[in-house]
Amino acid sequence: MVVCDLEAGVGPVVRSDQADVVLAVAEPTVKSIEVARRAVEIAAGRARVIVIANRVRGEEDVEAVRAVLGDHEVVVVPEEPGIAGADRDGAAPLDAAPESAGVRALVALAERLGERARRGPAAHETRSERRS
Amino acid sequence: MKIAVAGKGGVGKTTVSGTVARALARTGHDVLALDADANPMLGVSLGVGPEETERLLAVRQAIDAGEIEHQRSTEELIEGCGTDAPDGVRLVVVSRIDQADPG
Repeated sequence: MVVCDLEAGVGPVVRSDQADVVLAVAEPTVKSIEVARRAVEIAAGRARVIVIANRVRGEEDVEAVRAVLGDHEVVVVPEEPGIAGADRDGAAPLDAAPESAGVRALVALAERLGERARRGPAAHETRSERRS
Repeated sequence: MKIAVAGKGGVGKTTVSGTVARALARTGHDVLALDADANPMLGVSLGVGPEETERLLAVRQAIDAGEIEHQRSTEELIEGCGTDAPDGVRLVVVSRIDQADPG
């Protein structure tokens, strides 16, 4: 399995046409939601898209992301001192804040993706068919 | 399966990438984590520490500046521009996504 942390912005998504899954990360800000929306628009035809609503502080924030990107699966990562602290200390969130809701949401996502990869491309293709 | 993590600068792509990569490795998959960011910090989120992350950046900059020959094969790239991260993840710092094809 390959996990690629792309350069910021939409351009890198255009070039990563080999990705099976695109995780589009957005904070509850208009600008970052717009960048995620453009990235999703490019990726949606060729990869499974999952939106990560990061640093959300409440239902309103989740709704702001869903209002634009709600056609796709949205994984919610709440704003938490544990994850911010890991960043500050130069540590992995998985080590510094393993019990935080955000890390647990990402671990659960990874477990789903790992399971999907194990089932093979046929299952992935079936599941990645667009609903619309 | 190839997973790309996208978004505006500063939204937490690196945190997501590092956490997902290690959690995937814990499920028993071989995981290659590619850092294609202009400011490569994935090592920190994977838990290899700031110093090793800096070292990888220096290697990549030397390659970009032509001081070190470009790795000819994927294997050489993974070896020369990479390091081992916790849970068995292999981290590689790449200059451009189009050099990152693992085949």
